[in-house]
Amino acid sequence: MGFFIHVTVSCGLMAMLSLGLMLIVRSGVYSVASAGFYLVGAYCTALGTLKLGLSPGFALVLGAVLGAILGIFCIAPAYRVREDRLLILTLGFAESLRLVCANSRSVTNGAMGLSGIPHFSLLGVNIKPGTIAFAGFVWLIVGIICLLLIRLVKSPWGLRIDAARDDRVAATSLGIQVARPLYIVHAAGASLAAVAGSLYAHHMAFVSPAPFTVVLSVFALCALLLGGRGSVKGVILGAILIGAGLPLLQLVGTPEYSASAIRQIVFGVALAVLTIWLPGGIGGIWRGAKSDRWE
Amino acid sequence: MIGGSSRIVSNLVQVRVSRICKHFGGVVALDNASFELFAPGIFGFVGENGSGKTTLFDIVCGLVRPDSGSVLVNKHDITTWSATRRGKFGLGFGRSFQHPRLFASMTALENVLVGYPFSKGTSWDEAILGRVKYGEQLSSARDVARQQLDLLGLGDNERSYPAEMSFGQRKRLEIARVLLEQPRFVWLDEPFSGVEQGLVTRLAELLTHFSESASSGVCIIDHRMEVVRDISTRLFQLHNGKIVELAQS
Repeated sequence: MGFFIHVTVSCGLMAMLSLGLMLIVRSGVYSVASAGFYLVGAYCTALGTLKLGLSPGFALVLGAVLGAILGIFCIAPAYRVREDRLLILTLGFAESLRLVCANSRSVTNGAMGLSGIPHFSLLGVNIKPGTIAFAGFVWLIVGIICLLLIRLVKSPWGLRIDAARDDRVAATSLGIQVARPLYIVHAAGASLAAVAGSLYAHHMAFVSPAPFTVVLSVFALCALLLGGRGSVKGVILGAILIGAGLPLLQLVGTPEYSASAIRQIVFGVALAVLTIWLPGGIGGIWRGAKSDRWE
Repeated sequence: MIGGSSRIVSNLVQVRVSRICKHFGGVVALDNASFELFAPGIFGFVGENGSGKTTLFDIVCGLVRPDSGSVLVNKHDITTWSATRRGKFGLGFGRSFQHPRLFASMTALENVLVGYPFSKGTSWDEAILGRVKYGEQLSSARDVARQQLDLLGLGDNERSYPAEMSFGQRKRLEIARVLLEQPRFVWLDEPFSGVEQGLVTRLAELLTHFSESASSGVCIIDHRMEVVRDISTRLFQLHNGKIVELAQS
């Protein structure tokens, strides 16, 4: 039962990361900074609850706000660099955050990490990690995010995001603001990653810089592309495949180090195959479209 | 039809371009170009390739900054205004491009819809939290956009993506998007290129009708001299960055 809950929570957290990334990618920027914002949320919760005595709910909100601010800071040079270089810039940004945490031993305890993070509680209700209630809470948040995302992308505001992504000059000539929506989606995407990080810290009751490498960001990107960047349902499915992949490989008796390597190979090959034959990802199948049109 | 929002533009619009100069490296694109236009009317701009026509439109619409000179709308100096500000704050400028700039991920209907004032006015929180019943507004906006597509002969293409359309259809789609907002001044860069002869006449009639019904100024760059001359109330020629008025009817 504990294993099932762990897998369910892992999938939910991956779904949050991927949905946040979906929003960012929709604006036309491919980012690998998700792990950095995930780290921000996790460390905000760890430091806030352990060292500052904040309530878990307040620490989560603080992490989300800080994630949003850093998200804007990360994307600020978007108009000054080309897209491929922007990808490198986001990579550097996330790695910088991880290295700051790894080397600020007096505050974060460095690579040894912080343990003993209290249980999550909201409005006085204690939601103990490792329980169905915690997994349910994580997926409730995923559900709310999905509803908001679907509403947003189908709205005229979403149409403006698409317009700014497709052709900045044409969008500008129509009087559409190009920069502000970009900042808003990045703030929202980073904020979602930070919320996921905060819940991760409660789930594990321990944080260290080790899990927040670029590999995590790449997995979030994989989930997005596997599921189909234009489909919310597809992204959820992609996140479940990625989130459940490693624990399931371990379940069938594969040693942890091999399971991790096998997962990377399997998803790498799957990504290559899908990109060639099904650019719309898995989500493209039920939309009846093989192309990667946005939903 | 929907009237464009208006802040500094109320009724009649005067556009005054004064002593505009623009160089690209050592190449002179515009050399002391000056003219004054009053809407309504159709204004033709002709000249050989590289004479500075597109650069002139880009400067008026705020996509390119001039080296010197000024652009005034109803005596307000808008030279330093960004293109977004010119579009957003009710200047009532609409622009089409030499090579149609359409939104590749959107259908023809969505491409038109995105230029609709309501689409531009909804904020992200309204979109998420539903403070605006945008469903109903979107439905009526779709109807208006469909009418606009029908008017341009694109009624059967509303679900088509730009990549699935011919060059001429894309040109018309871009014009449909520009005209939907009923701008006070429309700047059309080669609107007739790639459009078959039968439709050129229809498009010319449509632009004339639009100019009269919306009291708008329609500025046209085109190489089809006979068409431009037939529909223009004033005709300008550009040569080596200099502008001269050829005719006034």
